[in-house]
Amino acid sequence: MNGLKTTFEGQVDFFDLNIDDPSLDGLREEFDISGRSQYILVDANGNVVRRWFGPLNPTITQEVNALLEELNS
Amino acid sequence: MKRFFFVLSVVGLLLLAACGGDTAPTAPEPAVESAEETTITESESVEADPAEPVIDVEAEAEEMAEVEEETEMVETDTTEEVAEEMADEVMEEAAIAEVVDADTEEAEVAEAEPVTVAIVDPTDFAQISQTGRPQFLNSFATW
Repeated sequence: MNGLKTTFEGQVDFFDLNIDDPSLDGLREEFDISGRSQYILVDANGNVVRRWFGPLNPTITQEVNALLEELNS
Repeated sequence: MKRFFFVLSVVGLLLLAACGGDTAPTAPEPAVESAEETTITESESVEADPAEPVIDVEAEAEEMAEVEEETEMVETDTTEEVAEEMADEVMEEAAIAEVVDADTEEAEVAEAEPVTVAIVDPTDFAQISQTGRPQFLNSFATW
């Protein structure tokens, strides 16, 4: 996660959501966040682009980069 | 007898002349001096004739040296002027290049400014979908 923040700093804003925090129930519903830990890439308009579950794979950097290129194109 | 005495007197005079030495050496000295003088005169006269063209050659050499010095001075001045002109042109080009670089740097900075984005507080959830940039949500459970 820290590697992603370093790689995409300035291009992507990172938020840490504690799904056990009741104050974030609205965000859980908005982004359809289930009880599982997950990572969600959202475009500038708030649309979910992709979700990743489980441990982060090192290839996620390339995937995020490709998705950002698609969003910027 | 008279002839005999006459001969004896002549012989005696000759002997006196030969053994006396006072009158005899005085005679050739002027001859030598005159010879030296003649030689000197001849040498002077001989040297005098070729000396004139030598003086002319030296004068011409001096004139040539002066002309060469003047030519060198002119060439040096011309070279310095050309060097100064070249230096001025280089300075002007450098100034223009600096201005262009400064403009380019300003343009680059202007272009880079939008890229430089303040890091959003990862716990400021009010910023979600409000930053105008893609977002990465890390949802995790604490229990």
